[in-house]
Amino acid sequence: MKALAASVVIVLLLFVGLLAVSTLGVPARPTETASLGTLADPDAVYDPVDVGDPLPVGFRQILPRDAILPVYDPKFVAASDSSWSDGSLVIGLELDGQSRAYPVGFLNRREMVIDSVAGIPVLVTW
Amino acid sequence: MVHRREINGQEIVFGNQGALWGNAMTWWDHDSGSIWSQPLGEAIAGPRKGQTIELLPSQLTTWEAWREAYPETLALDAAAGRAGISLLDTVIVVELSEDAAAYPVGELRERGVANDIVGGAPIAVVIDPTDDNRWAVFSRTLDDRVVELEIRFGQLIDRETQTVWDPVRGIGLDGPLAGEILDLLPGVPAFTKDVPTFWPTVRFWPPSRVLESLRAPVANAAAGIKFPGGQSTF
Repeated sequence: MKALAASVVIVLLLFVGLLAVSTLGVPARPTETASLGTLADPDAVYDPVDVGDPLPVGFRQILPRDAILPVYDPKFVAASDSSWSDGSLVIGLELDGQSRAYPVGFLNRREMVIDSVAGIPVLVTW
Repeated sequence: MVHRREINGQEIVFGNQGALWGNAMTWWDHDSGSIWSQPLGEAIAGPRKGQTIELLPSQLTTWEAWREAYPETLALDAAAGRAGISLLDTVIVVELSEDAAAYPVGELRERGVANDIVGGAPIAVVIDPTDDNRWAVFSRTLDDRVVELEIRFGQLIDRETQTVWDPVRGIGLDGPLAGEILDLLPGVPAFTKDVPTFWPTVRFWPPSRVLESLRAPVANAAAGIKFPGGQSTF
């Protein structure tokens, strides 16, 4: 039994090793994912509109919350891997030596990106 | 706009409220459900009403101009799409100590630099002479002096010491102040038509502009600054 268990372990280790090698073999695309904090279900969270809290004059609810879905898990590529044209308008952000670009044309559709740059939680909006 | 989504060290996640206030977007925060105004960065309803989050310096510029200034930049992994606007439709709003000034990109391109005082603080809005799609807002205060900036022969210099400054990062490149740094300040790109809605007391630069000539002296007096003959310090 011991020998069998040992061989199973060895096979497992080999498998893990192979996985690691195959992962390494894939050309690494530089991507980063933001840390986000806690995400909540829009319907489960207090909404001043639903409960009739006082709202400022001129406030107009048009769509349900997150009907235009924010980007909660932004991914990034190196500048050289981006296909944007030179004239594309972007919001550029630099914090503690790290820089990011968010294209306005994309933000027109999604409006919000929840991100973290150099450990600083940021909210990019258009 | 870019805000720091943090209150008293606590990270906050924001969503899209799907409502407009003053024709601008509103957010909801995921933990308290409060509703926030984007241009104010302030909760306008709910448990956090009256609280604000910090506006961070960011740029509205072209991909080419940004990439050249920050070659190491990462790009959001998404199609760029069509922006549908021109930078010429925008102004850069600087708000400090409840004083707000708006700098039309078209005027800035003509003049290169706006030396101004906002909320009592000497600031400059600078268009990069090598690419007029690139701009930055700097504090003009260094340890022991206040500088006046201008573009001369395609370079950003200060008048007193003739030091050449990097127009994007604010680093002294060549001259007596080489190595010193002008601090970056937040500037908000906004559409001209939206500005009075969100900054009701805003004054437009340059103060000699006809429409703003009545408002400018009031705002400037509030900042403790006098512009002789109604002219800016430019």
